[in-house]
Amino acid sequence: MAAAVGRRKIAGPAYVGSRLPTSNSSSDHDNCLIDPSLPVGGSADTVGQQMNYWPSYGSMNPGSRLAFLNWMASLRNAPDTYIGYVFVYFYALERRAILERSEEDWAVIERELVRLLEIYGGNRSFHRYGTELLSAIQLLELGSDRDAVPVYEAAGGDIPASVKIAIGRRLRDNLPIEPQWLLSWTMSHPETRVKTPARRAFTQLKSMFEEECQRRFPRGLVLDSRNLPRAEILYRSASGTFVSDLTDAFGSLPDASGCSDALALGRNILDDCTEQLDRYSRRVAKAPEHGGSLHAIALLPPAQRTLAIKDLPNNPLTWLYEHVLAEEIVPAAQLFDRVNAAQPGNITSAKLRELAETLGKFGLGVVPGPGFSFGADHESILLFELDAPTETLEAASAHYRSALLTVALGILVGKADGGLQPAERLSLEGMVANANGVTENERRRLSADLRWLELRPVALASLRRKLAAVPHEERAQIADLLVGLASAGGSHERTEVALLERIYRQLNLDPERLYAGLHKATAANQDDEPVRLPGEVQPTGYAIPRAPTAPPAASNDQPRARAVPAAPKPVDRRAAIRAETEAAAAILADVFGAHETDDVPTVTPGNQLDALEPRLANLLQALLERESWPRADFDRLARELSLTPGAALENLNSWGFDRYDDLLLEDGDPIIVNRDIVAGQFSEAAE
Amino acid sequence: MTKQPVIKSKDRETILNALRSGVVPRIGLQHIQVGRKREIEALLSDVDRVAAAGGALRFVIGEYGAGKTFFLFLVRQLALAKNLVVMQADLSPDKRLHSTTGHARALYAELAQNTATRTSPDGGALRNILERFIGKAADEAKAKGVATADEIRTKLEDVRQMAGGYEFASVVTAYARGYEEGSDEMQSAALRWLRGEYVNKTAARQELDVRTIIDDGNVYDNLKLMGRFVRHAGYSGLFVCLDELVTLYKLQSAQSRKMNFDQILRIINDVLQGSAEGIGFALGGTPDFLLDTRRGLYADGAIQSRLAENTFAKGGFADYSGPVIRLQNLTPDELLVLFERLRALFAGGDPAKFLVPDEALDAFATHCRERIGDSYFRTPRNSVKAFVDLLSILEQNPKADWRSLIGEAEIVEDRGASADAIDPGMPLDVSDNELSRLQL
Repeated sequence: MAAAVGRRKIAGPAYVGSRLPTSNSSSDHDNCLIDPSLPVGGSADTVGQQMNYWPSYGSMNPGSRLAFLNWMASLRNAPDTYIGYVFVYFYALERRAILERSEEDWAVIERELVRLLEIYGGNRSFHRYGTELLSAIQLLELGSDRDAVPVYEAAGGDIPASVKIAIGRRLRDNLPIEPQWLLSWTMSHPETRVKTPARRAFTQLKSMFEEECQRRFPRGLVLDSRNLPRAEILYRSASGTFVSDLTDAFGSLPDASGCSDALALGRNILDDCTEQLDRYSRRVAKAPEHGGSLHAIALLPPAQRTLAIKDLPNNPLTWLYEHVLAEEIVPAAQLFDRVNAAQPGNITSAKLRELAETLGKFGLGVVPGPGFSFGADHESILLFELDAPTETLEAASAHYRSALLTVALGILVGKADGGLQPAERLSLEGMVANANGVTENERRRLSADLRWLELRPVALASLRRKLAAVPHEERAQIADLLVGLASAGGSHERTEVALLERIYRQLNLDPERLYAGLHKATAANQDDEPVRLPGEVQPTGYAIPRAPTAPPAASNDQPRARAVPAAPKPVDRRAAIRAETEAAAAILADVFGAHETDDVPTVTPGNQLDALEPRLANLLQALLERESWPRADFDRLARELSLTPGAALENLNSWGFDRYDDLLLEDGDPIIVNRDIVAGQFSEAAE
Repeated sequence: MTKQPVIKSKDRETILNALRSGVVPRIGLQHIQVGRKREIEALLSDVDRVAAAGGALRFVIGEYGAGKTFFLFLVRQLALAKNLVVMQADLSPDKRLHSTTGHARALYAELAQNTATRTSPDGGALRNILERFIGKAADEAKAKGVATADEIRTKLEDVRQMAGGYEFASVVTAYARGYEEGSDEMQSAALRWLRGEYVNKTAARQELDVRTIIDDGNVYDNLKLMGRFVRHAGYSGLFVCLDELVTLYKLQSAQSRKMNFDQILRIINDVLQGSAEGIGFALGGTPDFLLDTRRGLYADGAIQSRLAENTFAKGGFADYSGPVIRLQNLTPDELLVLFERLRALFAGGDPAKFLVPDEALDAFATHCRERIGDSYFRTPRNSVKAFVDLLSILEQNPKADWRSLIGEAEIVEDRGASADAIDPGMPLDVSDNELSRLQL
């Protein structure tokens, strides 16, 4: 429908006619009424030069009316139109939608408002009135039981009506105020100071705010609505020609503005959350394109990070954890790129520290560590998983420092004889597992350090200063561990020992201690029984029971462990020593003669004669007459029997040993004859 | 309680006298040995290998007080019991394996002096060995109906083929001729030659008509010749025991150390390559002598790598100790068992005759610890000495109370450790005194 005004056809919505009363004055010409009887003409006042601050069709002069009607007849979209004309049109929409509550036109008016706001929203005043009208219509549409979408910005001098209504309903029904409504209430309150971080990182803020509310009021925030005044929800028209009470649409509601405590609480939580977002907000402000980098996300409060990462297109954590699992060394530049979304340029220790802090918050550690490393190579990095995410980097403890030094030295010692042998690696891993006084994270770090150092050993020379700083009482301990490590393979290579010697010199330890330590360590390895080689025939040996080294019950139950078992009781140890001693004595007795006794063995004379050559028998018989013979006499005696004296002596004794397990003739001058061995039996036999 | 074999009273006296004066007894070590079964087996296998015409080499490495000397004495006794000839000497600054100033010859002379057989366990057996060879040759010549001299020549044919063997055989022949001809001069000259007592060739040439003598340059060659020769004389082989190898470690001149280690390398190579026949070596030294990579054996890469090889994986057992036996100092418990053995030794192996109850052993150990600290078990010589003294007193005064005697027992700390320790300031001509070397 269109009405003709002069020669122009004006399309709706618009009020055209001679009379349109207002609700709050005696005037029957509302501001928006287009009265065709009023003069239009002259030159069009397109820039509104002759317009009042409070525009109305009736009070316009003819030139302005011309310009207004021209706009009304157009598509009403010329952006540079004088805003007073737009307002006059707007007054008609306002009147229709609110004053007249023309439900059937609401949808059309809403669309028209959205369109106008798009074009003329740049005008603050129009933006404000336009938005207010729009939300008022929306509230009316929602009716008495539906909430509007929460808003978080103040509009005008009061809490937006939608917020007032939503809160009011909850007060009326004694329902908890949901966090989002508390936030909406707080933020849209014109007197709340909302700081930049809260706006800039609103998503995070909202989620933090909700979480905090959840934490503080697990059962919801229910406010006491008694004694609250009724809320006044008025629509004050932009035209100034009516004020409409909207209460009829929502019913009577308590007024939330009476709950200053709740508002204070909301502000308190808001401030807390905002403060936590400060660093993140600054970072994003500085480099908005890095807003999605791990580095920026790390500045968020811990609980927000997971959420923030989930929204990223390529979760960088996946990439990082893949490298943790692979135990691969990553080029530092690549890592910085992934974490900081930036090329680092020169990698300084400050940057490394920053990187470590960032990754620490995601539960990852880096080697070389920023706190205590062997410097030099910052170009590559090894990632490892921490016990748990950490907010601040732990300062390397003294225990960790010396453990790391030990591991670094251990790698050098282990590699001194070529590669790291399995036993040596095992021993190094043992060092890490048993390191004293380190935290769980430090132990994990040590494990990664071990891997790192295995791939990139540091030169002993570069450790000099760190070694010099080791307290004296720890030096011996470190040295002992290294000796144990060098001995893990069973034997000591020269290169290993030479390196240990250098380390001992740098630690200013007595080299004697080194050799003694190596000596003990190797001997300890020897305690194992000999290992039988495959495919060889078992030799005939001594039938000696094995010395028990542990109580039988224990040895049956458990396999021989390499680890040092609990020290046996002294009694057990002594029993073991006695058993071994007995076994050793048995071996020796076997060699030195099994029948050690003062008794004369009963040997039949016949046997004796069989064995002894006649000349020797004769000599012996002669010798047995005296206890000792001067050497010269002995020689003569032998020669008389055409025996070589030395040979006679040796041969008689050899025979004596075979028979009696004892020395018959003691060499020297004189030669002593041990006659008691033969004890008279021989002389009778020889006859 | 360790079962004690019955002990001959004569052995008992010998052992106790030695212990009372702080030295390792010459015999009966089996009565005071504690533990170390594996080490003994290793040594015994060496002796057996030599007796079976093989070669053997063992380094007996231990710190001061660990019992190196005891062990070398033990291997010596084992070798003698197995009918081997044993030569034994301590190295010292003027007795080394290599020298250009007569010190190697001096070592050989010392070895020759201390040549022992079962008959002459205290040394001086060289003459008997020679005569046994001659006697045997004479008997066999007679049986074959040939001249003794011819038989001797035949027997020594292989000796003659060896380096320096021609002169060695000539000297043995000269001794035989001297014996036949009743010429004491010739016999004694030959003995002097074999004992390395000639200091110049001229005298040897005049007296024995040989061009060379045993000198610094051929000590090891002559030991090998001796090894071959004693088997011809009816022995199973030769075992050479050298102690105090730390002497070489302490040599100031790097060149000098190297030359000496080269001699050890020759021995190692011969043993490993199987070219050493019927000769074995036991070398006693300290850990630093072995391990120091600048001054010790480890300074020589070739030696070190050979020591690291598992060269003795024979007879079905892998002996991972290699050619090195590492002796550990006694533990307190081991010393306690040693006290038990000494008590049994006094009692002649009869528990009924024990002079003190078990508690006295512990009390005595506690007393030692209070007096001299941990060294009472690490370097136990003086503890042992004091314990033997205590038992002697109780034996002579059966009514005496062991409790009061223990309190009075005086134990002196064994400070001899410096003898084995590195002491660059120590002049090389300080030779160790007997007491500080002999350890249990």
